[in-house]
Amino acid sequence: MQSVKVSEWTKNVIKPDEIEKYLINGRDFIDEDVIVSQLQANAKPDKARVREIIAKAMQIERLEPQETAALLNVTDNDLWNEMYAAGLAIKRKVYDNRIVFFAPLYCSNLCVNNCAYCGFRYENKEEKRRILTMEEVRQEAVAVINEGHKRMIVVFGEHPRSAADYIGETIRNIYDVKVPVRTGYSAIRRVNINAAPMSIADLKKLWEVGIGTYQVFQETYHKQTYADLHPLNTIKGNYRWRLYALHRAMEAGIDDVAVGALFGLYDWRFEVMGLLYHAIDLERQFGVGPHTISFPRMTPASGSSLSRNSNWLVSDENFKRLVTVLRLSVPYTGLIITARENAEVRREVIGVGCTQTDASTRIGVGGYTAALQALAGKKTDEQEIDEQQFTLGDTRSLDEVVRELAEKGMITSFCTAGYRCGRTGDKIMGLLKGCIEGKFCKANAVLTFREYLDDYASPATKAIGEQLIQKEIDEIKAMPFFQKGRMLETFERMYKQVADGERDIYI
Amino acid sequence: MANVTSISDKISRIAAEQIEIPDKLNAIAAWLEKEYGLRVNFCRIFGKRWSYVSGDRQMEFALNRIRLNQQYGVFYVQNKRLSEDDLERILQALTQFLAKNSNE
Repeated sequence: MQSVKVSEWTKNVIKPDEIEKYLINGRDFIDEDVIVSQLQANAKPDKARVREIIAKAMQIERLEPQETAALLNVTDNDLWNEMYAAGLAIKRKVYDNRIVFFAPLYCSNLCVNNCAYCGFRYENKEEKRRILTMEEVRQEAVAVINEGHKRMIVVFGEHPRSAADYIGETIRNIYDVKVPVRTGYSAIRRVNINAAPMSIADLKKLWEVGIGTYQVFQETYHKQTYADLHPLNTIKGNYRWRLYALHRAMEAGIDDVAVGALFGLYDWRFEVMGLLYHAIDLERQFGVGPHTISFPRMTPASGSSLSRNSNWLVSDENFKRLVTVLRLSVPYTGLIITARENAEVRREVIGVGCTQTDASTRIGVGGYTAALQALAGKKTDEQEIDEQQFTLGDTRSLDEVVRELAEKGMITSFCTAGYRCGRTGDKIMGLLKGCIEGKFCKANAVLTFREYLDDYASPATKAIGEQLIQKEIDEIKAMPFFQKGRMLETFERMYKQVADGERDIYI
Repeated sequence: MANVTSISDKISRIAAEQIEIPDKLNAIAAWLEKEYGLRVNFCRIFGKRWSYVSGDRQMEFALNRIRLNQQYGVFYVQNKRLSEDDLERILQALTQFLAKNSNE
């Protein structure tokens, strides 16, 4: 009975007219011949040209494909070092000194697809299947909030039981959870979603319950590789349905969308070009580029030999390079590095301009509650590979990672102000390109870091955090931007409110 | 300063020249800035999200926000030319306008 329902549902997911409307002269925006020829034509860029391109990126201008292709072909280590430094400088210019933290929450590993690299694929009999009830979702949210998080990315396999209505219900339930702290309460303030491509009608349902960012990764932009890895008789086998998922989201009103590719499926240089073309097409058709770019690198997944043996696995050095080229190519966009990567790699790529990361991460379905049970001695606290989509490289706690960043002089931010102040879509893009948003980032980082230090930080983190927060406040006081009107006075009043125990104060 | 009714009437006349709600709100925002020096931008509210719809796109730092109804809210920059009472009358007029023109 269930299988009939699933197959019926599967047949009706894809709406061909919601692909065709975005094609230009019947073609999508990934022209492989053009990408290959651009990579070949820029195979040996001279130093002067590379430096001109770096200078353009430093002006917070999105690069053209020819320019990105040139950067991808740099071989000179000195030039790479210049690019690494430029990456961090751009990040500081646009987003200031903060790193935003989030927690992933896996709600379901039921999936109708059969992707060769993924632990969730339906033929993987080793995977223990589970979908959280709303009560379980709330328990997970409580556990995440108790770590100190304010922002989530909630992840769903593609299945009728975890389709738009379930996702919407999940968002509502997470927003409803409130956990008492000091004089107020703590809550998740922004729920982002990583889910399968949907129709515009379904995306509107998510819009109406207050979705933050909608994230869909293309996995690979290379069409033959895509076809090889995603069977044609599955929904995910339709390359273009996925390619235009974020266009549909924009049309549904969700103006914060996030692109990504799974590195290790095909040539990393090609994938970077694909991500750039995706950003360009969103700009062209909606006037707004992606809110963030993700670049997960393939790690071992249960029952997937490809995840260990792909010919395209990316070395640590090339990983750092691809992140750097993305930073330079789309300077206004957030870059997300996750706990898939080990601590050392994360340190390296945060140093070239990443803006967001996660910590205390659990990616098993029900993983946060299971970790609490482990603490209580009811379970072991190891990664449950047969309940996960992949394996993690960094399982450190939020407190540990926050402390490490603070020791390096970087402030952790739990800011969720932008989308609650109308700073979304093209509005926030304008502020990012104009290097204005970074000022808000700085102020809101201080306000939310104050909350974290008072509510959740260990004594060691609090000690280093106090020094850092004072340094940030001193910088704010010295910035001309905050001298305008009553901004500084307002910021100082807000800071005092938070220090006195008020919560969720933001600019 | 005019009373709420006359501000409402003026807002309605300005908005009547436009068809879509975002355009109506843009026209109202332009008039408020010209007439009272009041910079505003309007947002649609979806759960916690306040999504920019219309108004002063250059407005960077608006500390004041008011929910006008279940669907719409407004950010504004406080203005020395306007007393608290005047501001209150404008916000009331905007609330009345949206009560008639949004789908709530």
